[in-house]
Amino acid sequence: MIRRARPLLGTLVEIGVTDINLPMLVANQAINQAFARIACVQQSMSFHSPESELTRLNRHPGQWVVLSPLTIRVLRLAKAVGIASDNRFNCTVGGALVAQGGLPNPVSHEVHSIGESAFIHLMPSKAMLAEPVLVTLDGIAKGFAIDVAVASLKAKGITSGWVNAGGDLRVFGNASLSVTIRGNRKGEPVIVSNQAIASSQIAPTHTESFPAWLVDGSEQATITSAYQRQQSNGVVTVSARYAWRADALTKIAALAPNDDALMQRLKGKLLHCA
Amino acid sequence: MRNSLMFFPMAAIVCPAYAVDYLSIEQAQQVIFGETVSSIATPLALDDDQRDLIKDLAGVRQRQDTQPIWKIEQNGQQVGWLFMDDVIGKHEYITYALGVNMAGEVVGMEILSYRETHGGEVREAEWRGNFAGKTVDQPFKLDEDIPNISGATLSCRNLTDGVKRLLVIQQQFLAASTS
Repeated sequence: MIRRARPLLGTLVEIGVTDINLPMLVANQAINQAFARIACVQQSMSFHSPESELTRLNRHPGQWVVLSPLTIRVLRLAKAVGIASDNRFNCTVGGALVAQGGLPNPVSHEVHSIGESAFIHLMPSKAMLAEPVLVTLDGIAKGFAIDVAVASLKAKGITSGWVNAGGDLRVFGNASLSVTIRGNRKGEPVIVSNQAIASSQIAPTHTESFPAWLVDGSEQATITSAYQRQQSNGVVTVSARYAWRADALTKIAALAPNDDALMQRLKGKLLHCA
Repeated sequence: MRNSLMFFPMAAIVCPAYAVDYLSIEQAQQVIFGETVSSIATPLALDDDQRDLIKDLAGVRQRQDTQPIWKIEQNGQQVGWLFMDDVIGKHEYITYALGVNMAGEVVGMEILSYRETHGGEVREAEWRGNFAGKTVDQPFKLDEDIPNISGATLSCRNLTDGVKRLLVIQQQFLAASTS
């Protein structure tokens, strides 16, 4: 077994390869490439970077912007899960996050604080924002990067292993990992195999150590979520087939923690919510 | 804003648990510089004045009296340096290897080992950044250079500081010796 880690995606990303009898060199080259793919996702989809593909899109509403296949794909997934969840997952909330000081403003034009997933128009190699909104992929891109890394490992002949980005995790092939879900006081480990798992912590108050925000962009946003009613901290953990989906669904589960039907329709499973 | 919650993506999964050894320094050398290079241990002893200089230039204290460094050679010609370093945060202790080429650019970084010193509340964050191609002349403040708007983990901040410090060492004490 080979395990390696590098600082990426704002955390330590660990890649494990459990193939037996695989030459070290082959495994290491596969891991190198997977890390490079993660770095590529990170660069393309950065909200902060003035050179990222995402920033190019945000800067030119009303125009078709040519984008790489990776960025088109993550936009397609973000839009699809946005529409399927009635915008409970909504990647067009960048304007609101900028207004709240959660993100730096990457553009000079006026933007809507919150838009709709349907504002994102897609063609095979280009995208257009129908309205001046700011797309942020923070709620999905990390999971997506994990999936891209897994696909890259598989393409290089790796049949089993995992990619763990600070707790957002996907295990593939024959590998299985025993993980403890944080916030779950009973502490029963969960065996993860052939699936992805993602967790998010929700808190009612802003802290300096992590001033990120969750914005409810849906029509039902006036319904106060369970977390706000309780005014307490919570950890949401979701499993799904793919890491992008688990990542996105933690946000939906946080905003609609009791909507099992929605979670089922979106092909995720709420493992823990407290 | 009708409805907003603070949102913390976090490492809710404890895996790795408390301690993981990833690579040996030899393995890291191969991963960063390839299989065909050779290395010569050239640890660098630093006196108080030199450590003060590093602190002034890097903004981070040089804890070690001796910095483990290897000269990396290919076909008898030096191609770079490999540093081994550790950073200590509130909750974690990370040993890593950094490869730097003759132009003073980062060519690779690998975590060698990771320890959580207590409890393991290592919070992940939306810290974006890429050390590749980074040189000491470029600004290296987390907030400006590696945007850190949504907050940073201790791990990543400490690693950023560590890389900055090693690049100062490279520029001040190593680059001149090979010219």
